[in-house]
Amino acid sequence: MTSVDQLYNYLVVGAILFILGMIGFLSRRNLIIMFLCAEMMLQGVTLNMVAFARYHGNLQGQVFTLFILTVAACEAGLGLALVLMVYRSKHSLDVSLWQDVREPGEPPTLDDETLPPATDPQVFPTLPVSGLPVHHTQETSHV
Amino acid sequence: LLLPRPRPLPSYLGGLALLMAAFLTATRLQRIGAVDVETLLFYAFSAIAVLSGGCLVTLKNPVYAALSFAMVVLSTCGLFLLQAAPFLMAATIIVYAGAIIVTFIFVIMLAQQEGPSDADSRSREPFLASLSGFLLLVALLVALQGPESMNKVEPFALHRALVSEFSQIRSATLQHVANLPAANVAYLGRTLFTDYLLAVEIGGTLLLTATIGTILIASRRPEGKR
Repeated sequence: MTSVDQLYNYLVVGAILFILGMIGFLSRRNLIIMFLCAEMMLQGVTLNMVAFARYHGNLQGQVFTLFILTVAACEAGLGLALVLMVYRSKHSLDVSLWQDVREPGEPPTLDDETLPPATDPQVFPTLPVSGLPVHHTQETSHV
Repeated sequence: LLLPRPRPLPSYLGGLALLMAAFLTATRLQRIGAVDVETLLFYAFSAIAVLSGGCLVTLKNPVYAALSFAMVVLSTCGLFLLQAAPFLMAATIIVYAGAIIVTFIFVIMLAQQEGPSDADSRSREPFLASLSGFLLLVALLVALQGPESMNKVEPFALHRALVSEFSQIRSATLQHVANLPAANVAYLGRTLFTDYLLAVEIGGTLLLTATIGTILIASRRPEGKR
């Protein structure tokens, strides 16, 4: 495999990752998953950078990837803090609950059919309050 | 690839689209030369990355989605290693798979709700999103392959000529940078702290600011609303 072919293949993989992230970001409604999709788009871009760095034989691509990593870490921290704030105020992660802030004149998007009832109750691990004995109540913990 | 999230949609349709997409990309990726270890590893890693990326978009449970994102990150790190970037691989594993994933799962556990929720099992405009994604992907692929398929010129030919000229110019300084992975790290450090010193400082400041901002945002107000 010549180096151009190699570069091409890496670029294709980067493009696929980016576009998967874009599709997910556009169509999921869970805030956290939208966030993860944005991070996956960053991964695709990063892959492109590294492939170009290898192809050109210098290190600028890797340096920029390091900066992308830094910014991604900051962004993840800030974004998760914002997600927590949003969850505290609405008790849901659904972005469609925030469609009050849409453009004026846009009709609201409504869900037509109801969800099927829960077939199997999914049990997530919960975070117990530290220092207290664990008791299982209905109340979900919100810090 | 339509399979993403709409549970009401028949999933065989999504499977069909997935097969089609796989076939298309396979025809695009066809240029396999001699099969060596690097090629095999490249295909394995990229297949894992793309598959778990699809899982991330598709899966309903956010915890599984976060774990498949971890798989994406790990296989991307494998690709980094193939591209002679061992320091980046280590840093990405530590930062992403170590810190960010753990934070994500922490927040998922913190902000969970019982039962099926609107946020997890519905999607907004899956058709339009997938369609625009496909269009962009096709545009990218055509743009990547364009010059070659038009007039049999090697892609990036002009670019390569330019690059070879450049690399002749500075071959004295950066000659064996990308060759040895072990020496690569030293060169990366030298480049980082000489040419990009200002950017490194700005990055550090950004991290500090983000830390303070995160603490401010996430901490509970004393008079706060819940």
